[in-house]
This record gives sequence, C-alpha cells and structure tokens, in this order.
Amino acid sequence: MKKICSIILVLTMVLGILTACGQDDSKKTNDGTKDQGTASNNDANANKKTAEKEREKLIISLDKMPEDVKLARAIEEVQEMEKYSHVDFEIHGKEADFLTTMPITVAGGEQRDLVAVAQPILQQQWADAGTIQPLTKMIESLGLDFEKEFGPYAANAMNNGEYYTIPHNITKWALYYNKKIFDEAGIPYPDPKVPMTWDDYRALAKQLTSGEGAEKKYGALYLTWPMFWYGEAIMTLGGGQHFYNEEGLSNIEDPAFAHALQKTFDMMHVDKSIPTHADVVISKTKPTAFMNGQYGMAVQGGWILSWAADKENYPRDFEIGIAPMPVDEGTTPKTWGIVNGFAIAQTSANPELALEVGMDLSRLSAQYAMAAPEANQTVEQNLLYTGMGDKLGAEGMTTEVLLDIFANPETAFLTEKVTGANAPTYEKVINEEVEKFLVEEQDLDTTINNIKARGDKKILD
Amino acid sequence: MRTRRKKHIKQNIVGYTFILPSLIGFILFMAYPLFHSLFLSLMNWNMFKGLEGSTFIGFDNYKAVFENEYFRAGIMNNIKFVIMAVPLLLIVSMLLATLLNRNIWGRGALRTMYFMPYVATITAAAVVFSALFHPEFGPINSFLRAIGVADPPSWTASVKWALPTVALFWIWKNLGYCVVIFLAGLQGIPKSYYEAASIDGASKFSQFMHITLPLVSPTTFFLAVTTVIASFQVFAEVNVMTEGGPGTATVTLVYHIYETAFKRYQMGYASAVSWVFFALVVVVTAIQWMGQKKWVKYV
Repeated sequence: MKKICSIILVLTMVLGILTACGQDDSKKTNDGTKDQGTASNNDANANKKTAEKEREKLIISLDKMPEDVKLARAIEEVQEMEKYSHVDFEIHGKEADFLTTMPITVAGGEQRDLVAVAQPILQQQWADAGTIQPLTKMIESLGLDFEKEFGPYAANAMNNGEYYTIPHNITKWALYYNKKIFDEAGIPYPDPKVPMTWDDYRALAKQLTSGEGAEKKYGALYLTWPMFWYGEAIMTLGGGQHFYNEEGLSNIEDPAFAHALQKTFDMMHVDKSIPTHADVVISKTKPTAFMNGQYGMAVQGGWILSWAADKENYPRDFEIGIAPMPVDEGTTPKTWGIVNGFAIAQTSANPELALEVGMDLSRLSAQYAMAAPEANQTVEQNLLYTGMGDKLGAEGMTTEVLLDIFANPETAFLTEKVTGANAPTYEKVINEEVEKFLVEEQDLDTTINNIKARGDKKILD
Repeated sequence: MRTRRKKHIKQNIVGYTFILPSLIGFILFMAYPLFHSLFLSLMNWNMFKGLEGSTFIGFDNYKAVFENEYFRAGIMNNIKFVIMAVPLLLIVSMLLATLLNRNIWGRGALRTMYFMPYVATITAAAVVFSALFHPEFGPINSFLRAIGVADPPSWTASVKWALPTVALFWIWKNLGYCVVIFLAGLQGIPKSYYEAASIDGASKFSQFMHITLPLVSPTTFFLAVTTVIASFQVFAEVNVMTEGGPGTATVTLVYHIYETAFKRYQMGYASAVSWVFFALVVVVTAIQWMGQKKWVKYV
C-alpha cells in the first residue's frame, strides 16, 4: 500500500511539474489570446496559425510619445494603411521606468522593433551599447535620403558616423509667463517678439517674487534639469558641443559656465526668486508645476502649450503668455532643444519594415504638427500651430504668435545636451558636482576644478 | 542485503522527487545566475550581443573595481551606514521590545504601529519620510526652528546629512521586524529568573543587564548578523530618496551595481563588484560569527 501511495505521489508530482511547464505554450495562440481548448477546434487553429505565420508583427515602444497628439494621429493612420495590412501592430505606450526596462527587454532577446529615443545622450549610450541598430546601410538600400528628408536635423540622427534614429520631432524652448502674477506685481508683460536678456530675466524674476511659506509665489520655475543652470552658457558658447574644448577635453573652465552657475545659485539663495535645488529635489517638482499658478515665469519646451490647452487636467485661474527665450546678448532670438527620434532595436524581427513604418510615422506626425516645428522637411506643414492657435488665441497665443516664437527662421537653434565623447558619464560628473554647489556644500571654484579633473578622466576613459 | 539497498535507493528517489521542484527553482534562479555572474565578471560582456560581442578579459574588471571612484564612495558609505544604522536599530528595538513585553495599556495597538512601516511599500514610506524631513516645510525642521535651531539641516539635500537621513529611514522601516524578533526572544526567558532576582533584591536595571541581555543574546546575534547583511544591501531606500546624491553622498555598493549594470550596461564590471561585495559580506559575517563566542550565551 505504501509503495502504491509513493508511486501515485511521485507520478502526481512529476505530472504536475510537466503540466505547469508546458501549460502556457499549449494554451496560447500566436496572437497571444487564450485558446478555448476544444478538440474540434484543433484543425481550424492549425490553419489559422499557418495563415498567421505569413503575417508580420511589429512592436513599437514609444514610452510617453503617444501623449503627443500629432503622433497619436499618425499611429492611427499608419495602422490603417493598405501596405501594412499584413502587419499586426503592438503599440506600447507609457511604460514604467522605460529607460531602464526597454534596454533590459532588448538584452533579454524580446522582440522590439521601433523604440522612442527622446534625447541625444541616451541615443549615444544606446548606440554605443548596441541596444539600437545602425541604419545607414538600410537607408541606402531603401533609397532614402535623410539629408533631403530631414534637412539640418539629419545630423542629430547620427552617432559614431552612422545614422541611428529617424528624426520625428524637435523640441524648442520658449518663455511662458503667468499673466496674473505680472498683473498683481504691476509689471508689463514681456515683449512677444524681442527677447529679453538673461540678466533682465533674473531681475524680472526677483520683482515677481512675493509671499512666504506655502503662499510664496516664485518669480520663475526651476527644475533639476541641468540646462536650467547651463542654458545661458550654451547660448553664449553656441551649444552643448562646447562642453568640450578644442582638445576634446572638458571645457568647464570657460568662464561662461561659472557665470551661469553662479547666477542660478544667486537666484536660489540670494534673490530667492526660484525654489532651491534641495526643495526641487525633495519635492520632486515636475515640469507641470508651472500650471499650479505659483510661478511667474517658466522656460520650457512647446509641450507647455498642450497643458495650457488642456484645462480639464490642468485647471487654472490665470492666463498664460508666451515670449521668446531670454538670450545672452542682443535681440536676435535664440533657443535650444533636442531632436526626438525613432530607433530600431537590436531585436527587431524585421528592421526594414520598422524603418519604413518609422519614416511614415515621422512624415505623418509632421503633417499633423500643431505644437512643435517638425524635423521632416518634405511634408507640407499645413496644420502647424493652427490647432494650438485656435485653442489658445484668446490668451494671446495666436497661430501667428506661436509661429513667430517657434518657426522664426531667424532664431538660432542650439543643442541643449552635452554632446561629445563619453557624454553620459561626463554629464553625470557635472551633475554630481553642480548639485553639491547648489546645495551650498561646495564652493564654485572647487566645483569647476572637480568637474575639470573628474570630467577629463571620464572623457579619456 | 540487496533488498534493503534497493529499498533504500527507492526511498531516496521518492525523497529527491519531492525536493525536485525546489531544487529546480534553486538551480535556475540561484545557482545558475550565481555562477553565470562569476563567468560574466571575467568578461567584457556586451549584454545586447551576447557571447559573440564579448571578450574574455580575465581579472581586469576586478582591477577596475578598486580603481573606480564610485566603488570607493560606495564602500565607504556602506561602512558608515552599517555603523550608524545597525547598533541604533538593535538598541532601540530591544528597548521597545522590552517595553512592549510588559503588560502595558494599548500593547497590541503599539506593536501593530511599530510593525506598520515594515509592511508598507518602500516608495510610500519614503514619500512620508521625505515629507517629514523636508528642509523648508517639514514638521521636523519646523520643530527644530521652534526650539531655537536657526539653521536646521537640509537632510536628504545635504552632503553631510543625506546618509544619516537614509539610515534613519531604514531604521524606522525595519524597527517593527526587529521588535517582533526580540519579543519572541524575550518571551523565551523563564519568568522564574526575574522572580528569583526580585527576591534577592535586584533592581529592574540590574535584572535587565544580568538576565535579559545575556539570555536574549542569541536573538541579538541573529539580528546583528541579518541586519548587517541587510544594511549592506541597502538599495531601494537610496534609489527612492536620493538616487545616490547629493554628489556621491549616498551611493552604496548595491546602488553602484544597479547603476553600472542597468544604466551603463557594464554587466561584467557590475558582476565583479557583486563578487567583491559578496566577499566583503562573507568576511564581515565570519568575523561576527567568530566574535559571538565571547558574548552570546546559549542556555
């Protein structure tokens, strides 16, 4: 009896393990849905599977990009296109900790075709690591001409002499202001055509600051993004590439950086016209904080227009105005920004198809652009800013004003990120040292010297 | 003889079959990753290209570990963290457990309250803790200002205070667990010892020092070993509260491993750090193990 019991138990155990291991595969069909499991359906399922083998699956990971209205519309249209009727699209929107999980997914061998690359430092890092594929050969074999297609922005798609992304959107920054705070302070609104200087901006922020504690109204919003302190320096010097000197080493010794850093520090700790770095870090202040009405001004990208138009999610009792970005000197408009792109992951099942779809998404989203000027040069931008102009015109942000701010051909466009050798590590060093200065734990000279010493070491690594 | 041997083998097969699920789990999720990481630590491993895109570099990763400034910062921060957090955690939890072991009013509710942070999600707990220690608006600094401290610390935003603040958070989070373990230890001490001591005229303090402390020492030793290991492994608290900053003030070894492996994709180097870290924990635990003979009393 004992023997029989043991045999039964052992068999049950082994069967249990085998069943558990095999269960998922047997119950899932190719499209990931669960099979009903009736024997009579087996033949039909087999035929269906054969038919599905001829179909293609394209997995697109876009993180937060589908929140972009024009891209969402482009995605819908691409899925309706006849030439992609054989393609099953799987669109992944906002994913938790996308920047970490996406590369791990790719490293794990899971299929990903098109992936969003939202900033150049990440693009360099992913290109170096092999997360994303070089596209130059594919571009040539498909007869595409990126320079003709994307104009000067094609250069932003390149890393290590190869194309790695399909440019699809450019963020450009502007100065937004809270009209209510200006009215309460009795200060005239900024000129919508002529930019103020950074010195004017800082003086204005000081004038707009009022109140204490929870009632405090800051003259301007500060975020931990590093361009909030180095913005003036890169405007003076001509872009993120000037973080490097002629020898390719750290250029942090240029007085423009120390000047910009000291001025930001003064706004925090002397004028108290922006929240301190410590406050922003601990409060985890988000870019949307401008919509809460506690800040007189905010420099940010065109995405603020989308929040301004969305009064359901961002209710407010103030009107928003827009002006050109402050400049280092003169009256010529300048702005900074980045070129977003679609890249093709190392684990793409069909890179050529992914490239084709990426090109269509880029072209279509350019066509439907409302909030930001487009990378794509070949597409008629007939809807550019008209949508936002219609929604925000009553507040003074008409289509004409928006075009003047964002699509003025006179405006100098600068890359906002550190762009050069070992940029991700060099930027990390910069951020670590600057943070110690901004929280008053290290003086300016030590900060600059430390960045130079540590930065050079990292660049040479 | 042969029949007995056969029977013995059969019994063994049955036994092994029962442990098979656990064994498979252990091999797949513990043993294999462990030895795979040892292999990775000797490679310049490209996680996106696998073996084809990787090269064997011997002990270069191990050399790089000791030259890396983040590793040095991490190890120093870990040592400081252990020194700050573990003794304080053990002392406070033992005192609390002694208090909660008495027949005081609201004992059940108090035990639950102390245990709550331990079961709360770390992110939620960190948000609450960060709000308490907010340099400008937090109640801690408001209180300090009210009692005349003109310039209270910026806590997690301060290079000097960030690590102690994370340590305080870690202590608060783990206090409930240690209290429960100490309570179990305290309840194992026969009441007759205290009764005899009382008859002999020993004070409460004397009873605590000469009865409670020695007899609860096996529990203290258990907690000392496990909390030292846990404090070396501190990661989530750092990731949620400070992300290693300001500067490198709160970079710990596990945070450094996470950053290099999953943010910088240097899987080989991260594996080497993991093995150095493992060796360090083994040495510390061995020292504790050897030291126990001098102070742990098993009755």
